[in-house]
Amino acid sequence: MDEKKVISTTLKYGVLIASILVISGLIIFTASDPNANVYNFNTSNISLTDFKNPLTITLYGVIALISIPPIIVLEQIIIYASEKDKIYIGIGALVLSLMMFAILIMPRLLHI
Amino acid sequence: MLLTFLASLLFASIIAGLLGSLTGLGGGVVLTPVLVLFLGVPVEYAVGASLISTIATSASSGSRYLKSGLAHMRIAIALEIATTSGAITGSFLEYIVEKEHLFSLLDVLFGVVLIFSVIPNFMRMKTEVPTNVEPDGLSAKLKFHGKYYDEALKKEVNYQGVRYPFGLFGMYIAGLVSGLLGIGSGALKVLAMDLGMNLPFKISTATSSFMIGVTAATSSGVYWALGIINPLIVGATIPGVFIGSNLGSRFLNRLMSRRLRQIFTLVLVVLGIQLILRGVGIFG
Repeated sequence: MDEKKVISTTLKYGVLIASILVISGLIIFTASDPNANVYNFNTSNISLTDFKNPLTITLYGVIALISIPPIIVLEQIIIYASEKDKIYIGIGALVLSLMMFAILIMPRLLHI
Repeated sequence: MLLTFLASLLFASIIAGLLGSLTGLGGGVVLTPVLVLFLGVPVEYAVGASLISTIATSASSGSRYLKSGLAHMRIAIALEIATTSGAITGSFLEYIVEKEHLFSLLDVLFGVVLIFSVIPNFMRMKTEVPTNVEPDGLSAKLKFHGKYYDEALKKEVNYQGVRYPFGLFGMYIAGLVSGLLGIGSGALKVLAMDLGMNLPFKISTATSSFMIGVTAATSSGVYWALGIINPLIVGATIPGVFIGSNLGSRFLNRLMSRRLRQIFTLVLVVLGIQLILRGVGIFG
């Protein structure tokens, strides 16, 4: 498996998908509510299931962007597994666990 | 009204991306002072926008560096243990800043880090590549070696990374700063690899820009929950920084002399000083 090709393809298409979502949400929102106050919206007050708000699309773009690095680390683990490189499978698994802890569990522990 | 603000955000982000690329510091570290000082964006939203925009720039430059064979995947992931641990600590500190409303402290810290990050641009960096570096036990086991074709020297260069624990320590600090201030802290990462691990400058730069996304994504969970990621601001800064840094790296970097780069770097020092003054209540 050509690790460089797999990973650089993920990076390229990941950024493309994320940018399309981020920008289209922004354009639709601006067109529908041209006088909105910028500071009324952030990740703690927009629901990800509120599909009436175009900014939800933007937030899914941000999620797509945030997902790229963990996906790449996962791809690296798979590549090292195919090479039977035990040390690097362990290192990759540790990095992925730290990321998952920080992204998914830590905010809950802090009760934000 | 909204459109005017978004247009100025986009323009400011292009400038930030351009300056970040021309000075080699990365778009994020320039974006925050530009948004805060010129557009009056609250520092926490600026930091949130910078963190997310950093992931996009890292992903696009990382893809390019991988193809050119300059980014070392194994060194990157081995050091990411430390950058992600650092980012966890840093985003926890950012949580405290938010909870205690220590925004002036954030201004001052950001200014100080910005001024410190420009130091490498004024040091005479070694242009020759380190040769005959003997691997130590750990770095041989972890396969910290590689080779690349150096365009300037017109020859193939073999390199060997050493002193992994030193690299880990530097990367932990880089991750902490990244999580606290929402920047990539590329300058610190390059220093840890270049000076700490004895890697050639080109390999350090490429591997670092690849690692920045992983570090920034790690902090994003806490940022998201804190509500400091504003979709409208991020929607304008992601494409802006992306366009600016691509313009910089594709067209302008080749025209940059050392002197010119230092002049641009001075602009960042001024921004750093302004942020500190703002933090202590003298300016803005």
